Amino acid sequence: MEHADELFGDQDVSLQKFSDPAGVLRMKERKPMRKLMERFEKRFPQLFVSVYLGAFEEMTSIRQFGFWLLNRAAFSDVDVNRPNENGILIVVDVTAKTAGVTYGYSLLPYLDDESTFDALSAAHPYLIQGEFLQAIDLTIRKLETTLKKGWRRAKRNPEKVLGEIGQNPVARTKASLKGVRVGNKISEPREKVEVRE
Amino acid sequence: MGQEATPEPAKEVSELPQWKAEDWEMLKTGELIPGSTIFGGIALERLLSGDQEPIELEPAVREIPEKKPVGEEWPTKISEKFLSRYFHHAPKAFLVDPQDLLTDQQKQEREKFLNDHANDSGFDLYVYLFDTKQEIPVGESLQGVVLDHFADKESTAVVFYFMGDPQRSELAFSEDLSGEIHLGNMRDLMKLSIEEAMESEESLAQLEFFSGQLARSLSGLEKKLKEDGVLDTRLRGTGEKEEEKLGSLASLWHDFRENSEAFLAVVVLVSLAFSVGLLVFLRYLVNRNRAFVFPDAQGSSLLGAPHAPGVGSVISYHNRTQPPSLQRNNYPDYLQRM
Repeated sequence: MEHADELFGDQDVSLQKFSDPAGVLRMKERKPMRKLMERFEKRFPQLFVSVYLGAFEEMTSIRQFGFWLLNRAAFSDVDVNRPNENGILIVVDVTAKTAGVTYGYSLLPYLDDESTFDALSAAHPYLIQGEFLQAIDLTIRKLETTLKKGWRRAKRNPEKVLGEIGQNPVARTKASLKGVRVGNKISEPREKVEVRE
Repeated sequence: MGQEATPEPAKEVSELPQWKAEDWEMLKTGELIPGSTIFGGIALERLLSGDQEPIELEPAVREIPEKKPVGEEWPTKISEKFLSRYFHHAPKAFLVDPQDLLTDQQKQEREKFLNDHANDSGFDLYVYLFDTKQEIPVGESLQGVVLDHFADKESTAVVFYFMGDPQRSELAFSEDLSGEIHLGNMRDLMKLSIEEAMESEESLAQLEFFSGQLARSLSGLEKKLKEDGVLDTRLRGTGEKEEEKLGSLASLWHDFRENSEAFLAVVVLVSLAFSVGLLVFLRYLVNRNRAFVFPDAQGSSLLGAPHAPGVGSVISYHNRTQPPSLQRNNYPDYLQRM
């Protein structure tokens, strides 16, 4: 994390869950993009998905950027009950033509490299065509399918599923939900750091 | 059995003529004319001499009588074995052809035409086929056939048709109509149909034309009888036929209901299919609006990262020809460095 902070900054950044600094999405595509993110949140009340479409010029690793952003971003339009641990971040570098998916600790039992790669592979033809809305839509749908399967497994045997990656189930309380989100709460005014592109 | 079959000597096959060098020389000088052996010596001489006089055939050749075509002997008698099907049994189809004067294909076409006519019209038309010169046996007649086999039928026309000789055809109506249709009308019907048939010299085409015209005339007659009010009492209308069809469907349903095993099996299968379909649909509805809530968990953070461990996949899409698997970024380099 320190290395990533050195590269991108050690301050939290205020961000919306959908960002398009590269400006690749048409105006009429922005509303559907938000809709599909809302659809995801409705289906998974604890989770959220964030999309970042950037045009990086000197960045060496999109993976590193995704890792840093999900740890440093304070999503202003995400409910406080959905902490970054429960978030999925899709980053697309339209200059280097790479796309990546990273996710928070809470999703470790349900997602892995293979499932996220499958989701990105499904969107690959659309990414090639520059159809980013369709690409993101398909990626999210694939991730939804994987999450549903994980949910079924966890419903049957939560201890086993969570224990596989060293997590322990805890009783759900309002306090516990807020507790994991507290890292994202901007309790004090803090310096906004612009993401370097 | 003990004798061995001896092979027959192979027949000698005459060899084809071969061109020789001297033939070629003769051809070039004009002494040899190809085909002259076929024309014959006389023809060759005439060709070379340029004589234009016609060839006089010798009297012996001239007097060879021309072979006259052997006149076809038309059978006049109907074989005994067919009499029963013609005259002693009610017909099973609209076309009666026990002698197979038509081929199967032709029969099917004619039967289809007569069936279609019966479906579309208030009249049924039965056609009995006989050969050109065949005579109706003594004691049998069209009227007799109608009385014997069409007494219980209504609005029916019966024709005796002689293949190749439409003028000999006869027409009669079932008893219910015989009083309503005047002899003059029947003559007109036959006259029109025969005239239509005579348009062709081919016997099958004659039959087609004849039956086609007769069917049209019967439709016209049906219309006229409707206007005269005969339809309501005597003529069987198409509406009744539809009722008959509905009746037969009801009968089929009744038979099906009576076969309890089959009925039960079908009912069970249909119910099962409906239930499965309903379950699938309900499941779809439930899943569509379902919210998936995961169990809360507690774990330690990795790499000093507060929220995300930095795992996941990266894919490139700069190469249009390579599949995604070859454009996968497998190694998290920053994690290795750290």
